[in-house]
Amino acid sequence: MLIVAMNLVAAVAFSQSVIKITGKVTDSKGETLPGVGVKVKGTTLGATTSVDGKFTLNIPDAKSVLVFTYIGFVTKEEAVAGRTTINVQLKEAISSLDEVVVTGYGGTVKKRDLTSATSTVSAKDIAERQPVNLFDALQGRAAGVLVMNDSGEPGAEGTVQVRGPASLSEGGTQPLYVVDGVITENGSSINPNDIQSIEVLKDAASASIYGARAAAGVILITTKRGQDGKPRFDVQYAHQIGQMAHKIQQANSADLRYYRILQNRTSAGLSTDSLNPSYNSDNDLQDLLLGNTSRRNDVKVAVSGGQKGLTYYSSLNYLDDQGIALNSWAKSVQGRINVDYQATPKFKFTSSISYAWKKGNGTDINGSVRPVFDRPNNLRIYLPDGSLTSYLNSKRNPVANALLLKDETTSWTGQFNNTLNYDIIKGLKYTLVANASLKNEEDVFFQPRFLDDNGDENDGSNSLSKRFNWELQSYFNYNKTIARNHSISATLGVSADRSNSNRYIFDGLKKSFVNEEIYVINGSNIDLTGSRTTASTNSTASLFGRLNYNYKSKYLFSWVYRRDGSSRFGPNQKWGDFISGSAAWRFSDEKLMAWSKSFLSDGKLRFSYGSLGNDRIGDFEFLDLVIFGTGNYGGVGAAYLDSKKGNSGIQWENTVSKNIGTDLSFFKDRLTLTAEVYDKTTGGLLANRELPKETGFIQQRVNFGTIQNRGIEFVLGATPVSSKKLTWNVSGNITFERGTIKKLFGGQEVITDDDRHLLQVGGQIGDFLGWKNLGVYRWDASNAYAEDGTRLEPVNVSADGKTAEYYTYNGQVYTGTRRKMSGPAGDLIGGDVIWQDLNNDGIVDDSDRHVIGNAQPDCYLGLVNNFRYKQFNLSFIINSTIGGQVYNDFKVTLTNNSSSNGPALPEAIYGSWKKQGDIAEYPNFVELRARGNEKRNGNSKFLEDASFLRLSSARLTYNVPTGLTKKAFMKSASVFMYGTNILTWTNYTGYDPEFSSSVLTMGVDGGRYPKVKQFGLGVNISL
Amino acid sequence: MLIFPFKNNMKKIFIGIAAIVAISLGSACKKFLDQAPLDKVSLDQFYKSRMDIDAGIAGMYSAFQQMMIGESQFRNRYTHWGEARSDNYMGSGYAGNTEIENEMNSLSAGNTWTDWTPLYITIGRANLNIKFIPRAAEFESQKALVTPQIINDYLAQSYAMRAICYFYVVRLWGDAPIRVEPYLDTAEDPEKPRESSEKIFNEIIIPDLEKAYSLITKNATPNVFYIGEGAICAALADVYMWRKDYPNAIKWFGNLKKAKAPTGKVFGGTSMNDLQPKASWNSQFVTPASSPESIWNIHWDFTKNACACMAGASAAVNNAPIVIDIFLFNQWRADQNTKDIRKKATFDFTKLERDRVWKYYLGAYAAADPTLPAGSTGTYTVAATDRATDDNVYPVMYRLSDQYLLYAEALNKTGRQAESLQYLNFIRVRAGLDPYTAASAEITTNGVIDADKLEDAILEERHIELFAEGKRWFDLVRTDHVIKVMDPIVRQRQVLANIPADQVTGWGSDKRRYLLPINRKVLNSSSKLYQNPPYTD
Repeated sequence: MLIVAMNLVAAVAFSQSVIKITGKVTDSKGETLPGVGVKVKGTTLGATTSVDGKFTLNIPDAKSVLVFTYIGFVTKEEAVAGRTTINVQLKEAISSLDEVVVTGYGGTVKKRDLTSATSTVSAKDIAERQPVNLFDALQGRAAGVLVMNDSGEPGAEGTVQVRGPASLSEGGTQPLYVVDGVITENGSSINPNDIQSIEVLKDAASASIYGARAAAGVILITTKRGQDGKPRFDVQYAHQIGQMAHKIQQANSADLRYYRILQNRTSAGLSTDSLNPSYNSDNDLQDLLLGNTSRRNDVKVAVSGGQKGLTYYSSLNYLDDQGIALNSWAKSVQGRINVDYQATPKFKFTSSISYAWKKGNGTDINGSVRPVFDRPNNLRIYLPDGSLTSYLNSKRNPVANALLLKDETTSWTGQFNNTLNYDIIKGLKYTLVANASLKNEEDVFFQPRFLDDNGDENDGSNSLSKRFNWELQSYFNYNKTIARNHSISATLGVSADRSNSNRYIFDGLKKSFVNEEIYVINGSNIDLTGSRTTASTNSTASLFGRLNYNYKSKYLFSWVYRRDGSSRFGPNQKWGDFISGSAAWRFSDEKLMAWSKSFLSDGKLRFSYGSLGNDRIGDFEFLDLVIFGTGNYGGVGAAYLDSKKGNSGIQWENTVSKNIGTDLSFFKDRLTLTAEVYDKTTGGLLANRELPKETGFIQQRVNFGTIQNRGIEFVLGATPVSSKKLTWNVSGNITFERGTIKKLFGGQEVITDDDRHLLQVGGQIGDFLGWKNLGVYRWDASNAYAEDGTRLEPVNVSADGKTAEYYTYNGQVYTGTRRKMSGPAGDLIGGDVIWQDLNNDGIVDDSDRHVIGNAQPDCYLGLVNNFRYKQFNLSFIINSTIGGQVYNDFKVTLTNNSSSNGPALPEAIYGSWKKQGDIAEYPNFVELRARGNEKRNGNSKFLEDASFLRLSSARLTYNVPTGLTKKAFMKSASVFMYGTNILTWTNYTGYDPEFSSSVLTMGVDGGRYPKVKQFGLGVNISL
Repeated sequence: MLIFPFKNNMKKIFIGIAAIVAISLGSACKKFLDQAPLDKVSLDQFYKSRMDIDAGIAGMYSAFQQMMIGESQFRNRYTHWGEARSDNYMGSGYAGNTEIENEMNSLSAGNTWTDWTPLYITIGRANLNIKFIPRAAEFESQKALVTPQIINDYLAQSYAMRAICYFYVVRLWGDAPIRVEPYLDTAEDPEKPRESSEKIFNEIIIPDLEKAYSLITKNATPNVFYIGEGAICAALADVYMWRKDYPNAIKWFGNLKKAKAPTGKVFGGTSMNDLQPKASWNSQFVTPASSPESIWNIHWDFTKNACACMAGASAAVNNAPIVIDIFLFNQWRADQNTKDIRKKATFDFTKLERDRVWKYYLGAYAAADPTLPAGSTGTYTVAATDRATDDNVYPVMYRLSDQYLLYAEALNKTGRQAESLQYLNFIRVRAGLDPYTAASAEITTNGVIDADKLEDAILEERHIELFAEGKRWFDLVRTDHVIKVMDPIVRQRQVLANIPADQVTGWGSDKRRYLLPINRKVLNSSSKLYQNPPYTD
C-alpha cells in the first residue's frame, strides 16, 4: 500500500512557474493558530500553518483565491490579488450553518441549505465529552435520537433509535450505519476520536437515498482525513476510575435467618447448623462482586499530514477496561489508516483501512447480576486458608465463578475500502467504491470441575463465527450553477453488496476435559448434541438517484429515488421503489421579511415526504425450508420442515415519513432554533405471525400491520455570552414522541414470547400486560366486595381475622350482599394480593389481565453547556427520559420465595404479610405461587417509572497557552479532568432505568450490570 | 505496481469502466439476487431419494420423541399429559404455576401442557411423509431401495403415527381441527374449525390405524423403537377400549397375539409365560429390544439427543418440578416389603425428596430378610450414578402387560369375568403376588365376582404395573374414576397447601374438566377455535 502510494508521488511531477506566498493566521484575540488548512481554491495545492501560525505556499497564479479552514472557525476565502504576504484573522464559528453536511453517495450540502431533517454531531461536540464509543458520543446530542447506553459494563454498547420504534423485526429499529460511504454492520467499533462528523438522517427526504434499509434512520459517519503540511501528532491519554453508582439493599445473614423462619413456618423446622462456620459468615456479596473500582486506560494516538496531493490520517486507540464486577474486563485495539491521493488534478484515489481487535471476559454477572443475590450471605466464600469454597447448600459461590469461569470473546474486524474519484468534466464527478470487510469472533467457554455442584464435571465449548461482506458502488455526481442563481446538483448510481456468514460450534462433553489447563475438543470428547455449523448469505442490488435544485438558496427542492432488490424476498417480491421529495423556503430572504432582519438572521421552513424501507429479516424466509441435523431418531439424522413457514409473498416494510421543520437563527446566529413535527407510518411491518398451530407450523413471517409514530422535536442553540475572555454556549434538544399500532394481521392480538407484552390495535409497542396489584389483604375478612365490585372495609375484625363486626362502603356502613374474590386455590385470604378484578366476576384469572403500562418514554432531552474562560473550558451534558416504565424482573425473582435457598430482598422479608392484621407491601411468602400471588410476568407492583435525569458527563479542560507549548515544541497541549454518569435522579429502585432492549421485549430489567460513576484525568498533546 | 499511462485517456477509460460497472450490475442483478440457502434446502429439493425418506421418517419420530421426552429439561409431555393430573405426581418445591395447576385441578389456558402444538407438528410431519414418500420413491434411481414393501412399511408408520397423535388430541381436548394434508399453500386459509371427536375417531384414528395395519408387513420382527405390526394392533385395542367398543378391542388384542415381539417371538399372549419373567421384570425397561413383552418404546440416545431429563420419570441433575405424590409415596413405602417386586423397583423409597423414579434404570434386589414372608424380595437399588445425562431412558408406549390388563378390562365389561380374572392374575402372579380367586374379597360381593370391584382391581393393578408409563390419567378418565380417585387426594393436597378447611374444594365434580383447556397461544392463533367450557380464557 505504502509502496504504491510512494510510487504515485514519484510518478507525478509538477513543473509550473510559482509565486511564493507567506502569511500568518490568528484568531480574533490575536493568538496564532497552528494547523490551519490553507488551500488554493479549485486546486489541490495547500499547506498547513506551523506552530506559530505561519504558512508558506507556492501558487501558480496571482489571481488565485486562498481558502483557510480550521475546525470550529468560519472558513475564510481571501483573494491573493498580487500580494505575497497575506495575514488573516479567522472568526470563531458560533453557528454551524456554514458547515457542510454529508448526504450520502458523495453528496454534500451546506447546513443552511438542508431541506430535510438531519442532525449533525461534530468532532468538536464529541471532544466535549470523553466518549468510549459512538453511543456515548451521540447520547443527548440529537433530537429524535434516543440512545440507550449500556455503559458500566466493560465493552458494553447500547442501542440507538431514531424517531421511535418503527418496526417489529429484530434489528429493524436499529439505524443503518454508513461509515465513509460504506454500509457497516454497526458503529460500535469506531474510535470516537476518528470521527469528523456524524449525520443522523431522520426523515425520508434525507434517508431514502439508502432506500430499503433506511426506515430506522441512517447514521452517516465521516472519519478524519489528513491535511497537507507537516505531520501532526496527536496523543491523548486518559485514566479513569469508577465505582458502582448505586447499591441495592441486600439481605445480610440476620435478615436471612429471619427469612428462613418465615419460609419454614409450616415444615418440620430449620436445618441451620449454628456451629458450622461455613453457614455462619456474613458477607456482602454485592460489595465483593460489584464493589470493585473500575479502571480504564485509554490511549489514543493519531498521526496525520501530507504533501502535494497525498494526505494521510492514521490512528490507534488502545483501551484497557476493568469493570466494577470481579474479573470483568475488556481490551481493544482499534486502528484506522485513511490515505487520499490526488494523482492528477482530476483523479483522486482514497483508501481506508480500519481494523479492530477486542477481547473481553463475560463473567456470570455480565448477563445478569442475579448470581450476586443468589447465594445467601451466611455461606462462607473463603476457607480460613484463603482458598475459595465451591457449592455450599447447593448454591454456587459467585466469587469463585467470577474468578474461575472463563467466557472469553475475541473479535477481529477488518475493513478495506477503496474509492476512485474522477472529474470527467467540470462539475461532473464519477466515483467507484469497493469495500470488503471481514469479522471473526471466537468464544471460548470453560468451567472447571471446582465450580460444579458435585465437583466432578468440567465443561467447555469453542465457537467461531465469520462474516464476510463486500460492497461495490458506482455513481456520478453533478453540480452546476446556472446564471448565478440556479444551483443544481444530482447523483445517479448503482450499488451491490453481498454478505456471507458462517458459524462453527464445538461443544465438549461434560466431565471430558482431563487437564484443566488446556481445553481442546476432539473426537474423544466432542458433544455431538451441541456441535454444529450454520451458514447463511444475502445480497442487495440497488439503483439510486438524487436531484437538488435551489434558487438563490431561497427556494430549495430535492427529489430522491431508489430501487432496491434483495435476496431476502421471493422471486416476485424482490424489488422495491422508494421515492421522496422535499422543499424548503428561506423566508428570511424575502423582501417582505426585511423588517425582521435586525433580529432574524436566517429563517427557513422545510417540508418533506417520502418512503423508506426495511428488509431486516432472516435470509430465505420466503421458502419452505427443510432443516437437517438438529433431530436424531434411532441413529438416523432427522430432516423436517422448519416450524416457521415460508412466505413467498413477503415484501418490504414500507415507511411513509412526513416532516415539517423550521430552522431559525437570531441575532447573527447567537440563538438558533430548529423545530420539527413528524409523522412516520410504517406499513407492512415485517413480523412473525402466529399461524394456527394445527397447520404443523408455529409462525410465519408476514407483512404484519401498521405503526404510526408521531413526534415533535426542538433544538435550541444559544451563545448567551461571547467575549474575549468568556464564551458560553448552550444547546438543548427535546423530543416528544408517541407510537400507535394502527393495524395488525387479521386484527390479531399478539402476546410476545416473553409473555409480558401485548401488541394490539390502538396500543403501543412496549405495552406491558399484567394484573393490577392493589396491595395485600390485611385480614381474611378483608376479602369482601360489594355487588359493584368495590372493596369493602372490615371494621372491628375478630382476633382470627375471619369475621368483622360490620363493613363499610366508601366510609358508609354496608349492609348489602358481600362477595368474595377467588384465585386459583379458592377464596383469597389475608396475606394474598388484592388484584383488580377487571370484569368483576369475582375470579382473578386471565380475563383480568390488561395493559398496565408502557416501556417507551414520552419525552427525552439533552442539554449541553460549554463555557470557555481564558484557558479553561468546561462542558457538561445532561440527559433525561421522562415517562415510560421498566418491569423490574430482577426484583420479582428476589421477592418471590423462589426456592428454599435464594435469599429475598430485605424490603420483602420485612415487608411481607406474616399474620392477620399485618399491613404489608408483599404477600405471605408461604405458598405464594399456589395462591396466585406471584403473577411473575405481569405484576404491576414491579412496574416502575423509568424516568431519570442524569448529569451524564462533565469535562474541565485547561489549554496550555500557545507561548508555553511553543517552547516545548508542541502545537498545543491540554489537560483535562472529566466524569461520566456523575449524578442521576430517578425513582427506579433497581440499579438503573436506562438499558438497551429489543423491540418486542422492551423495558424488562432482569438484573443489568449496574451503572458506574466514573472520574478521569487526561492529557492531550499535539506535536 | 500502478503505472499511469492514461493521463489523457483517463476520461475514456473511466467512462468505460463506469458504463461496464453500471451495465453489468444492472443485468446481473436478477441472478445476483437469486441465492440458495446454505444450511437448509427448500422443500422442492427434498424427498428425492431413500435417504430423504429415512430422514423424513426420523423427523417424524423425532418430533414425537422430543414432545414426549422433552425438547428441553422437564418438558416431558409423556408424563405431564399421561400422569401429572393423576394421583401419581404432585408439584415439588421447584414447581411453577403449570405444575401446581395440574396438581390442584386448577388449569388455565396459559398452562404449557395445554398446548397441542407439538402433536400437530408431529401430525404435520406424518402428513408430509404420506404425501411425499411416493414422490421420493419415484425419484430414487436404485429401485431396490424403494420396493413397494419398504414404502408401505414407511407409509404404515406415518399413518399410525398420525392416528396416535390424534388419539392424544381427542383424549386431552375433545373436539379438534382435522388436518390430513400438509399445509403448504399460503393462499389456503390456515384456520380450521374444531370437528367432533366422534368424527376424528371415525374418519382418522380408526381408518388410519386400519390402513397402517393393511400396509405393514405381517409377521415381521419389528424394531422396538418403531411402530410395527404389534404397535398398530395395540393402538387399535387402546382406541377401542377408550371408545368402550369391547368386541373390537378384543378383536385387535387377538390380532396382536399373532404379531411378533422385537425378539422375533410371536407374542402369543395367552399365558404368563409370554410376559417378561418376574426375575427380570426391570430389564424390559432398560433393554426393551430383548424383551418378549415389548411392543413399542420411544428411543433416546443421550449422545445425540442430550439429557433425557424427564420430570418425574428419569433422574436429572437439577431439581424436578414434579415429584411422586406424597400419599402414594407413603402408601407404597409402607408396604414395600410385601411380595410385590414392582413398587420398590419403581422409585426410591429412601429419597424423601420423592424425586427418584428408577424404573427405567438397571437395578438389583438384595437377598430378602428371612423374617419377611416367604417370596419377599430384599431391598432394591439402582447404581447411584445413573442419571439421564449419561444413561438412556426408553419410555414405554405399549407393552404386553398393558394389553393384558386392557384385555382383562374388556372381558370384564363383556361379562367374561372368569377369563378377565385369568389375565389379571397373569400380571399379579408375575409380580410375585398371590392370584385372586373367584372368591377373593377384593373382587367379590356376597361371594360373587363383582364387575365393578374387578374393574377397580384391574385399575389398581395398572396403577402399580404401569407407573411412570404415561397411562394413569387416561385410565382414570376411560373408566370414569377421576372424581372418585382424585377428589380426596386434591382435598388433602389443598390442606397441605394451607388452604383453610372451609375453603377446600377437592377435585370438584365438573366432568368437563376431564379435558384440558385450549392453550391461549393456540386460541389466539386461530379465530375459528373456542375454549373448552368451563374454562375461561
